[in-house]
Amino acid sequence: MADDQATEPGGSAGGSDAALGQSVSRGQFLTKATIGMGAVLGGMVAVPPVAMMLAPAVGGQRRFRVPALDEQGTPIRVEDLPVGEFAKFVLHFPEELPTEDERPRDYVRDRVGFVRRNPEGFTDALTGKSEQLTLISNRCVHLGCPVQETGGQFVCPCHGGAYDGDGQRTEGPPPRPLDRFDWEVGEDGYLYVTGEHSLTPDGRELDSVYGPGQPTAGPQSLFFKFQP
Amino acid sequence: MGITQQARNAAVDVADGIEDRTGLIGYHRWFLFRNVPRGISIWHSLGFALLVVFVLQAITGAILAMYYQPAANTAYESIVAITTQYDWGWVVRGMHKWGASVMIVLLFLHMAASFVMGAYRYPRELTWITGVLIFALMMGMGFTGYLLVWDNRAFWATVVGININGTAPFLGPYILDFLRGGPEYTGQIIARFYAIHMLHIPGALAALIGLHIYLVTRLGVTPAPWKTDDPANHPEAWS
Repeated sequence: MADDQATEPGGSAGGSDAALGQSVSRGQFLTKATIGMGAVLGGMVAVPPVAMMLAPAVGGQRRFRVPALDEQGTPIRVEDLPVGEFAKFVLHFPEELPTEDERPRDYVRDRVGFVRRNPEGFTDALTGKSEQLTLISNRCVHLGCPVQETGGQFVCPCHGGAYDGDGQRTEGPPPRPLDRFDWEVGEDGYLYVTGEHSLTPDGRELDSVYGPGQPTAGPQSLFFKFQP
Repeated sequence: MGITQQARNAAVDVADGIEDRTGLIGYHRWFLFRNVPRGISIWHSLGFALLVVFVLQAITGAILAMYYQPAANTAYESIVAITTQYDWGWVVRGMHKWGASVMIVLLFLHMAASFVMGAYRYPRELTWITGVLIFALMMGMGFTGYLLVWDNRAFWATVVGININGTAPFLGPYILDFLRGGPEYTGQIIARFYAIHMLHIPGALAALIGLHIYLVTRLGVTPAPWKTDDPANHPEAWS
């Protein structure tokens, strides 16, 4: 310490640091303070860009309330839907959401799904529920290609995944049934889509939507328990 | 003194001045004038070939970036314009597109040759590790560049590719949202991939390639394993 004092220009005017009972010389203090302030400033500079970059990964599940449109862009009135048959619907996000807060950013591709108006006394073979409508996502749960509806069944053109009329996998690599859209019928009688969720192969409805290729049951599903 | 001699002297003076201030000539000699082991073949030249293709990709990419418009409603049209309207655009874009494939092929050949030569062994472990990182980043370049064409094939191939990433255990769902920039595929993805393709990965690649070349220069070219009994192939014997 004494050597430090001797070689340090402009040492303390009131005598040595040791004499004052200090354990840190002015040079050491300034060095540590510079490093500390540098770390704080560096953190202040680094955190926002990193947070901005990583924010989408923890953005949470999406909720919305979007009118379902037919392929001509006309809102779908539930009572106009044919009973027992699937009709394609489109969710056109940017223009149709009621408030700016609910509007997702810059949607390139409209989401597409299939809606079936179920007959009286219908029970969903997959979920066991008796609901007026069944809304199935067209996103293949294997790797995300758009499934096509043919004769009340769904086939994916990319890797041959196939599903029955309830979205249950019947063939190919998909690990779970097709996802379902949440829906409600507005007071005006039109169909609104309010969210999306995944199902387990035995028909249990989950709170969130899983990514394509992510199993919802069995040991592998443990890898995907935590969803953004 | 003739004008030729004067010009030569002037050039030597300039070179001396630069050398005094930078020492570049010394580095140049250290970098290029090295002993190499016996048994050198064309398989030892793949790394340099890769470097040449990387530089070409960087040059053509920088030129394409002057014309490419990375937004959902302009990307494909700008690609079409580059290919059909701008002078030499089809050549530059062709060089960039096919150069990417050439680079991947060379990358595999270089890696296979290095593996066969045993370039992962002491003292070149770090060279091998940097090479593996370069390999991963090059794959990332290919993946992010594929989307930029923004046609149906590019879009759906990228969707499938991103969703494959989403099947990684535990981190998959987060990687999925990170890559597509949110819970859905939006116009943001093209800017995101463009930035990764143009800035993030090339920056990291340039640094890693620099380190890789430094290590190759420092440790010497790996001798062919069937020549390792030759004392001249041991770097420690060269000094």
